[in-house]
Parts: sequence; structure tokens; C-alpha cells
Amino acid sequence: MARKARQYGEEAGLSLTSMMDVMTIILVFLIKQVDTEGQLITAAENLVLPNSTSTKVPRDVSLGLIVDHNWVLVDGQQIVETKIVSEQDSLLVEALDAVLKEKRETEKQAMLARGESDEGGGNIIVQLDKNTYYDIMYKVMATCGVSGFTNVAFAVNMLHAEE
Amino acid sequence: MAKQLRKAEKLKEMDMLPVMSLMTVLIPVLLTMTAFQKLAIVEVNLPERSEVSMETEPPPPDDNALNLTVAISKEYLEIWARGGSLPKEFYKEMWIFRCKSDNDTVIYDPGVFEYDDKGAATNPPKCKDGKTLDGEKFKYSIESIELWSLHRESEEDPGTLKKSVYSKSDSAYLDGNNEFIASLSEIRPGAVVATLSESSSRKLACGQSGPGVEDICVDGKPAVTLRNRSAYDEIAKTLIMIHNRFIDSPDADNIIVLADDDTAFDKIIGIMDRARDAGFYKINLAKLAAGG
Repeated sequence: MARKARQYGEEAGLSLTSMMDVMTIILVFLIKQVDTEGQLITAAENLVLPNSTSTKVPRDVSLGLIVDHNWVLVDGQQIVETKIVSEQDSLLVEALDAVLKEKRETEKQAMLARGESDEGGGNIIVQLDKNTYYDIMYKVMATCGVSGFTNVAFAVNMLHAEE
Repeated sequence: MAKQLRKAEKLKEMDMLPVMSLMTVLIPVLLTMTAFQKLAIVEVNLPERSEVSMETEPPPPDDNALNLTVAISKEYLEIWARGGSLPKEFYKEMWIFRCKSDNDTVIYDPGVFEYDDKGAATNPPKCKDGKTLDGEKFKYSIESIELWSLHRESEEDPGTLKKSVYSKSDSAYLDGNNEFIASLSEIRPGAVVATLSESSSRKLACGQSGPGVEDICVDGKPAVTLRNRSAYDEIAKTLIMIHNRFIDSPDADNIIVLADDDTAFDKIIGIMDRARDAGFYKINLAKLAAGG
């Protein structure tokens, strides 16, 4: 009786070796995937970015502007409804302009405090849904230009990630 | 003695459990850090701050300047350079939807959709497995917008679709005269063709590859396809030609993209991609005047 029990005890151990193999492979794969540079932009949730052959990745930290179906957001903060932007005639989106000017001023102050010239900077990355009308895109872009963010870039999905 | 031996035997088996627990922690951490969708940026040129005025006036014409412009309108793409325009490139717009239910694609002409006053489609696209997409949100399922190139004799002509042979990697083939190849018979091992990228002249072969040689076969059979030619490719071809021809002009890298108010952002990016690939790095955006 006692002998039987010991047999059970010895055979109950799980064989972890095969599991280890799987895990090691997954681990290596994931480490390979992880971008060493890190992502400077995060895709907004409720919009689909267009695909592009561009392979340029953002190098500097930029202000993020998101235009989805309902809202125009700066740094995740709702500024103005997209509907209002599309309905207005003027190219300048005033509510957005006010916020952007403020951000630009803060940026300039920070640069001066660091002892740099306040001419640089002004980077902004705009995320637009692929179905956004050109009209909205143009107004937003013009507003960025007026408020001092002259380095405008649009976020896109990289079609051919570098192999 | 015997006891000692048995002890040593038992030690042989390494205790993997702590390693396993470490891995189970590491894997989720890495998974959350992984970016499966890589993002890139497309830069546009904005006029300097002082020049930005709400009533932008065009700069005085310069005879040497190329003043290259691509206009995107509802029915056609058009290229203007040096004050003149090239023939309009008519297209038929097609929306390709990817259904979540069966992971297959369906193609629709955007003209068939009817919308109610809330902007939702009353006849949303139907997937191949019979399910219909949500009328309000079906536009999120658009995988790509394709522009099929049309050949039109006159304004009234509804047009016929142009065909072109595409390679395995989905690029259009060009023959020695820089024309698109529209018949599969021209694509055979031994033929010399090019694609829409720089110094892309290559010899076709079946079952072998190397520098300047492209293997067009998969499992011993040619894997090229004849399908509707993309209007983007037509524009790309013209842009490459213009870039090579006017390389000395002072604004050889500049291009202006003009579009209607209701042009989808996707099309703009499409044109910007082609322009950049053709060598026009400084992309400006402009708006078509109302009614123009």
C-alpha cells in the first residue's frame, strides 16, 4: 500500500520542459517585436488611420491632435465638435486656435528656460480618420499653422514595416 | 553509498517552476509593450507663419518654375505643370470592406449607398456570409479605397476600365516604352519589364531569382494577375516622368495637392505617397475654390 502511494507521488510531476520550449520561443519573438525606441504616438481608439508607404517615424515628442467623428481633441482634451468645424466657413477654428496658441506659448517658455531659441519646436502630429473630409483636414491644418505649429505631420499606418 | 547515489540522481531534474513563473510574468509585460500596428508620419509643408494669411494669394508666376499641382476631384485626377494641364485621369471609386464575421473582403461602389437624415446608410454593405454591416459605422470597415482608372473618349462617355498586369508584390508592370502592360501574354519568362520605382528594370524568370531577375512563379506557375488599373499608378507614372524631365527646375521637389472639400483623407494620403515616391518631397496642400 505504502509503495503504491509513493509511485503516485513520483509520477504526478508535470513535465515542464516542453512548456519551457514554447515559452522561450514566445519570449524571443516578443523581445524581437518590442520596439527599442518606443512609440512616440499612440493611435487613437475610435478612428482608422489610412495606410501609407511612408516609413518615416516621429523622432521628436510632438503635440497630439486627434480629429474623430465627434470631437477635435488636443492632448486627449475635447476642444470643439467636429461638426462645428465642418459647418463653419472660416478657415480658422477659433476654439482650437486659442488652445494651440496657449500650448505653443508654454512650449516656447520651456525652450527659453532651457536656454534654446524659441524658433524651434512647433511639432504637431495630427491623427485623422481615413474618411475625414479634406475640408476638415484643411481647416485644422490652417489653424495649426496660424497658431505657430508649423511642423505638421499626419499619422498613418505603416504599410510595409521594415523587414 | 547507495543512498548517496540516489540523491544525486534526484538532483538532476532542475526545478523549472520559478523560471516558469518568471516567464508567465514576462510574457504579458512584453505583450503589452508590443506594437502590432506600426505608425508612421507623413509630413506636409506649411507656409511660414508670416506668409499664412486667411486670404492666401498665389505667388507671382515664375516662368522657370514647374508649379506642379495634382488636383483630386470627384471624378478625375489631374496634373498641372507650368500653367498647362495634362489629360484628366478619370477614375471609378471603389470601397473595399473587410467583414469582421468572415474576414473576407467585399467591393462596393460608394454611389450605391443611400443615407437617411442621420447619415446612416439604409443599405449597408453585405458580407459574403450574408451578414450586413452596421449602417452607421460601416465606413469604419473600409479597408482601402481603390480608384480604378477609366478610359473615356468624351464627357458623356461612361468609360471603360483599364486593365494592367500586377506582380506578386502588387506593383504594376511597365514595358520598354514606359507604358502599362495590359495583357498577360507579354509577361513571360525572358521578358524585360520595369515597375513604378527607380531603376526597376528587370528580367522575368520562372523558378530563379537574382540581381535584375524577378521570379514571377509560385509552384511553377506564373503568379501575376491582370486586374483593373489603379488611377494612383497612372498618376505615379506621370509624376515620375515629370520629375525626371524637370529635375533642373528650381522647384523640382515641390508639389501641391489640391482637393475638393469632400475628398476623403485616405485619397490625399494615397496621392501624397505617390508624389513622395516619385521624388517630390515638399508637399503642399491647397484647396479648390468653391464652385471651381
